[in-house]
Amino acid sequence: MSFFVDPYALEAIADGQFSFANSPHPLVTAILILLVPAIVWLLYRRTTRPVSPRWKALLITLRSAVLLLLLLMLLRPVITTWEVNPQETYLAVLIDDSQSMQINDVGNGQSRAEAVQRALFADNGILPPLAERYQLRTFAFNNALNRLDTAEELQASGNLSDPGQALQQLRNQLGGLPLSGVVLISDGADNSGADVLAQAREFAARQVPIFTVGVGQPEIQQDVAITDVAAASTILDNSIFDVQVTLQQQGYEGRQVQLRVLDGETEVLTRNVTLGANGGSSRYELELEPERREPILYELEVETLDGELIAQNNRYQFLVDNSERPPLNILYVEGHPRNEFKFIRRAAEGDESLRLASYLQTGPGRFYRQGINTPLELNDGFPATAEDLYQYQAVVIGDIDPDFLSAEQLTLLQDFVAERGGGLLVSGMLDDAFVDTALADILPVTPVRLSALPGYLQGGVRRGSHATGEMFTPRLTTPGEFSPLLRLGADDSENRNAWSALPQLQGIYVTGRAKPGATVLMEHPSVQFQDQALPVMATQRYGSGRSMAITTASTWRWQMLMPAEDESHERVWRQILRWLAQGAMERVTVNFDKPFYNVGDEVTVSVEVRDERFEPDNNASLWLQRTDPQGEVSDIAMEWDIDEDGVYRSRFLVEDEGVYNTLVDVSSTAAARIDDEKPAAFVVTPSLREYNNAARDDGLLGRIAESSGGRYYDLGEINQLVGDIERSPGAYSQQVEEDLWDRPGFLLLLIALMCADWMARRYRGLS
Amino acid sequence: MPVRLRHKIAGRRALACGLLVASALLAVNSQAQPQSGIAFPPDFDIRSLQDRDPPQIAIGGQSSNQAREPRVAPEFTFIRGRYENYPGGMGRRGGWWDTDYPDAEQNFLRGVQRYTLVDTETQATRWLDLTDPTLFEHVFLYMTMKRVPVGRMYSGPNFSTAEAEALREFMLRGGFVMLDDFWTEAHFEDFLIEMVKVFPDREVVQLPIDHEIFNLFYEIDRVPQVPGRAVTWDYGGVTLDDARYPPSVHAILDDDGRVMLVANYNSDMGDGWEHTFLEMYPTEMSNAAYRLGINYLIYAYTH
Repeated sequence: MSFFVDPYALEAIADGQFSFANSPHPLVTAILILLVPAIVWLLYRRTTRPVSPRWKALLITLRSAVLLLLLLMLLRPVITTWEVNPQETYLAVLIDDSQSMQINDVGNGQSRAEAVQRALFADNGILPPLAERYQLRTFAFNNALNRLDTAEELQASGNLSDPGQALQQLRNQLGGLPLSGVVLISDGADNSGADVLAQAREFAARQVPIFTVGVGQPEIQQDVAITDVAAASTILDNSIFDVQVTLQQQGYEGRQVQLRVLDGETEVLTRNVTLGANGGSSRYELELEPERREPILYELEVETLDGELIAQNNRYQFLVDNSERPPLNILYVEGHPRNEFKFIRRAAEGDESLRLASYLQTGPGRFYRQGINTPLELNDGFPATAEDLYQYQAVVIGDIDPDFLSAEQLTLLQDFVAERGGGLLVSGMLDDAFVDTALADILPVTPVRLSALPGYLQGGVRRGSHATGEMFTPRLTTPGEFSPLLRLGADDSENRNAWSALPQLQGIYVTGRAKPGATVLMEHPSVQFQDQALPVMATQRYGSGRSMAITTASTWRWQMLMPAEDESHERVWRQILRWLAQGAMERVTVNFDKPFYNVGDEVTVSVEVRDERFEPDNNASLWLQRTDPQGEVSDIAMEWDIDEDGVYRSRFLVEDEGVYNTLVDVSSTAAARIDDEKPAAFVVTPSLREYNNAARDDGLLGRIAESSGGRYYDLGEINQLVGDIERSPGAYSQQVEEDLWDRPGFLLLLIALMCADWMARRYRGLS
Repeated sequence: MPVRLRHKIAGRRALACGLLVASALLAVNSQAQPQSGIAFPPDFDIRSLQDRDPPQIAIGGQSSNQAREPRVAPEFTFIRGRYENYPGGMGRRGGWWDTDYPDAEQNFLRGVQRYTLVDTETQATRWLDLTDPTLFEHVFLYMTMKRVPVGRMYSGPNFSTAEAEALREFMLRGGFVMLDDFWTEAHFEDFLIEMVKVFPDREVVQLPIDHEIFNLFYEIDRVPQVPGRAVTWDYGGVTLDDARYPPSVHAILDDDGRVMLVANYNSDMGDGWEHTFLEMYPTEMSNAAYRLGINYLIYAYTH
C-alpha cells in the first residue's frame, strides 16, 4: 500500500471505478459537503477575541478542510478492482530464447538476454514477488516452448522466434490449469510467418490477458546486413550467372565495404561497393562463374565494420545447382535452307543445355537431320505419335509448306502445347493454308489470308522495295524491354545500349493483330495493320504450354552484321529456346517447399510423376535417397498424396548445416521410359532471420497485449507489471472493493490540518 | 566505259544471242536427238534461257557499290569475292578473280534452283570487294584462287591486310568461303601463304571423303578432278583424271570443328559449272561440280 493513492488507483478513478461505500443519496452528499463550510462559517461569526477577516478566513478554511476530510473518510471512498487468491492461480512467464537476444543493444554493453535475466531472476527482479501470489510457470521459447527451471537454461540460441507457436503450445500444456495471465518477454521478432495475433485473441476469449515486455532498442543504430541474395538456383549452360545482393545498413552511409564470395575456402570474387542511405536497402549485381559441375554452396561476406552491433548478418550462404543435367530437347522443322536456320542452329549448338534436333528439307524429297540422338530419330519426318513428339520440350517451325504437316500432326502439335506443356515457336512465314488450323489457334498472333490484307501489306518480303521488305529497327515494347527472353544486359541501361547497337532487321511477314492474351515483345516501328503496329515477336500461354511467333526471317543479321565476338544473337536465341522448353512438364519433378532451410526445419520434398502422355501417375513407387553433408546416405520411401494426383511426398527434419543431395528413383509400369534417377539438392544454412530486422518491435508486442486484454511494457517499466497483473480482470480474478480512506497519507494530512488549525487558534489567542 | 570493255560486252551479247538461236534450234532437236548438240542436262528447261534477259554482267573496274542489285530479292545471292590485286596488265581483263564469271554461278544457280529448296534465282549473282561491308549480308562467298603464272604476284590473290581481316571476320561470324581452281604444288603453297594471312593460327586440313560435307546432300565418294577447259585440260596436255594432279579438298575449321572455308585443290568447280552446256566438256565432270557445289552450299546453310 502506498502512502497516498497508487497510480493504479488514480487510473481506476479515471476509469470511473470509484465510488463511496457509505454514500447516502448523492444529493445528500452534496448538501453535506456544502453544509460543512457553511456551518463552520456560521460558528466563526462570533469569536471570543476579535480576529481580522484574513485570519478568520484561514481559520474557516482549515476547520472546513479537517471536517471535509473526515466527512470524505466517513463516506468510505473505494475503487473497484480485481484480485486473485494467492497461490490459487497460475501465471506463465515466456522468455524469448532466440539468437536475436544475444544482440548487445540494451545499454552498458549488456545483451538483451542478460538484461532480461537481471530483470527477472535477480533479487529485486519481478519473479520473487510474482511467486508470492501465483504458481509460476516459466518457459523459454524460440521455435518451440520449453519449460525453464533456472535462469542458466536460457541460451539465446534458437534460430527462429515463433511467439504464436509458443502461445499455442502454452495453451496445450496449461490448458486445464487456472491461468491468470501470461507474461511474454521478447524483442518482438516474429519470423515464423504465423499469425500470432490469432493466438492472442484465443487468450482473450479465455479471459487470460497477455502482458508483453519489450527488450532491446527500437532501432539498431549501427549495422550492415545482407538481407537477400538472389541467384538462379539452377544454371542451365554452365556459364556466368548474375547474383543480386541486397544490403541494408544503418549508420554507415557512403562507406566503402568489401564483398567477398567464397566457394568453400576459395575466394572466387571480391568487390568494393559503396553503401547507400541510412535505413535503406541497396542492390548490387555480381557475376560469378561456376567452377564445378555440381551443386555449389557459395558464401557471401561483407566485411564487419567497427562498432557494428550484429556481425552474424554479414554472411550469407546460397546454393547454386550447376549439376550436369540432360539438355532440353527441341525439335526444329524447316522447309528450306535459309539463314535463320543456320544461325539458330549455331546459337543452340553453343549451349550445352539445349539439344536442337532439326529436320530440314533441303531439296525436293530430300531431308537433312542434325542433332539427332539415334539414327532412327526423325527418320520418318515430323513425329506422328505422341510418344515420339512428347520427348521434345519445344518445337520450332520454320518456313514450311502446308503439306509438311498432316491434320493429325497439327492436332498432335496442339496437344503437345496444351497438354504436354511444350513450347511452340513459329519463326517462318505461315502459309495461307494454315489460317484456320490448330496451328493458327496456338499462335499469339492471328494469321490473316493474303487476300484479306490491305493492298499495301500484300506481297510480303519478297517484293523488292515493298514496305514489308524494308529494313527496320524493331521497337521493343515495355514487356519486351524487361522480358528475360530479350535481355542483353543485366541492368536496364546496359540492356538498352546493347539493343540500340544491333543492326536493323529486314522484312516482316504480315500477320494479323496480336491475340488478346498475347504479350507483344517487339513490334514493327512503322508498318501497321488495323491501326496496330505489326508484331515482330509475341508470346502467349496456350493450355499448359506456351507459344511464340517471330515474323521476320532476319534475326541472323544480329550475327552477321555484328563483330564475331558479339554474342547478342546467340544470347537472344538461347534465351528464347530455353524459355520455350524450360516450362514444359517433366516426367519427374522434384520440389522442396523452401529455397533453403535452417537447422531444425522440416523439409517437405514433393515429387510429381507423370506417365508417357504426361498425365499424373498415381501408381508409381518412389524412393528418395538422401545424402547428408557428412556423406551419410539414407533411403526414404515417398508416399502418394491422396489429395493430389501424381504427387508423392516425404518429410524429414534436418539437423546439419550444408548441402543435402537427393536422388529420386521412380518405378512404375506407367512411368516406363524414365531413364535416370532424378537428382536434386537443397541446402541448410546458418539462419539470418534472427539478425535481420532485429530491432525491438513494440508494435507487434503492443498488439499482442491489446488483443488479449493485457498491456505492453518496456523492460525498464517491468516492475509495474507485478501489481498490474493482479488488478487486471481475468478469468480467475474476483472483483473487490478497495478502501482508499485508510491510506496513511490521509491520516497524516488530517493530523497536519488539525495541528495547523489548533496552532492558528492558539496564536490568535482563541480558546 | 573503256572501249576495251564495251567490246567485251558487245562480244558477250553476240555470244548470248547466238546461244539463244542455237538453243531454240536445239530445243526441237534435243527431243529427237537428245545425244547430239549442246549437252543440256536431261531435266534442263530450255525456256529458262529464252524467258530471261541476257545476263547482266558486272565487270572489273566498276565499283561493287554500284553493282547491279538482282531484279528480285531471293534469300540466296551467289557472291563472288574480288580482291584488290588487279589489274595486272598483260592485256587481260585485269585479274583472275572473275574467271568464269558470271556463267559459272548462273549455271550453278540453275542447278541449285532445280535440285534444292534454297530460295534463289539464276541471276542472283553479284561480286563484291572483300572489304565491302555488304559482304556480311551474305553467308556464302565464292572465290577463285587462280593465278597465272604461279609465282608472279602482279595479279591474282594477294590479300591485303584489310582483305585478310574481312575474310577472317566473315568466317568467324558464320560465313562460308569456297575457294576454287588452283593446281600443282606450287600453287598449293601459294594458297597456303594466302591462308596464313587470313588465319595465322589455324591449320589448313585436308577433308577426308567421309566428312559430312561430302554426304549431307549428295553422296560423294571421291573428290572429282573437275578440269578447267583450255587452261589445264586440253591445252595443257592434261587428261581426264590425270594422276599428276590428285584432287583434294582442304579446309579451315572453326573452334567447334565446323568448316569455315573449303578449297578445291587440283579441281575447278567454276569451269565445271560454266561449261555445262559445252558439248566438248565432259558432262560427268559438270555433274560432279554441281554435286560438290550444292553440298558446300547446303553445308553452309546448316553449319
